[in-house]
Amino acid sequence: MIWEDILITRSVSEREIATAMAAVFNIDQNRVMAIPGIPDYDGEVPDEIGILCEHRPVTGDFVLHLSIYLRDDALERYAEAHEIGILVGQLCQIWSSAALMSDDSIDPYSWLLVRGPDDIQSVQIDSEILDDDDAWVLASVPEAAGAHPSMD
Amino acid sequence: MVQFIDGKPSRRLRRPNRRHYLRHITTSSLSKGRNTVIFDWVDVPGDVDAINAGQGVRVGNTVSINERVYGMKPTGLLYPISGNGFVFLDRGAYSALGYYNEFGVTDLAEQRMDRSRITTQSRERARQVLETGEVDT
Repeated sequence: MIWEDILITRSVSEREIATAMAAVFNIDQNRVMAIPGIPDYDGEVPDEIGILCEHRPVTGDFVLHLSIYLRDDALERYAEAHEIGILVGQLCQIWSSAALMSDDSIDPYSWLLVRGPDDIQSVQIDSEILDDDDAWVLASVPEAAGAHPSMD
Repeated sequence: MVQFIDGKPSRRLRRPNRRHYLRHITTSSLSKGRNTVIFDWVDVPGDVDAINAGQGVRVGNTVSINERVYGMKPTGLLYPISGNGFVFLDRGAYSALGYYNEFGVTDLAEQRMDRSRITTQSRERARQVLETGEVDT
């Protein structure tokens, strides 16, 4: 199942993705696989992989789009038992990055900015820049709730 | 917020971006937990013209026309919320729709979704939406 689509502000390597996912989901790093987004990658994914993470470049305040898939029941149960924002916040701490993740609204320009497990705030994406330039730019940057990565 | 005067918006409202249309969803599209996509047959320009002419019904930051509800951004941009020709998709179905749009309803699409463990329910929902969206209901 797809767990979450997030955008992050740092261009992390596939190794960094695997290390962070393994730490946050408490699994062996060998069970995480990071690959370029479809259709660029058409290789096999071994059965033992529990987390598949596709990465694609994006522009604007964010540089990477990560699509995170959970490939076994135990990981799905783990994810369901934890707040998504907290888990994404832990990833942000490891990567020294901020992340944009979905809120509960149907508004496609309303999102959550995550800068750590205790810094999750509602934000608006600049709709004109997104629609005209396909770039993800925050309409305004909220004050950080703690000592977390800046948006610079 | 966009003001309405005598039923007409104080600034010209603009149609939703093509990213919101059924056929434009791809595997690169960024999903939310809740997504609304637009069937191709919906006369969105007609809706927008009618709203700008004062025929829409505004409630808060939404406006309704022809059995469809649009959200309004302060910039005047509209986005789909619900109604005839708008369809709600959760993250899984939205993701599956991206695969089908990119690879067709093919074995290759199914193989790619097997790799990502997209659920059967999500695939069925996406196929249902694709089949429904091909005709004017």
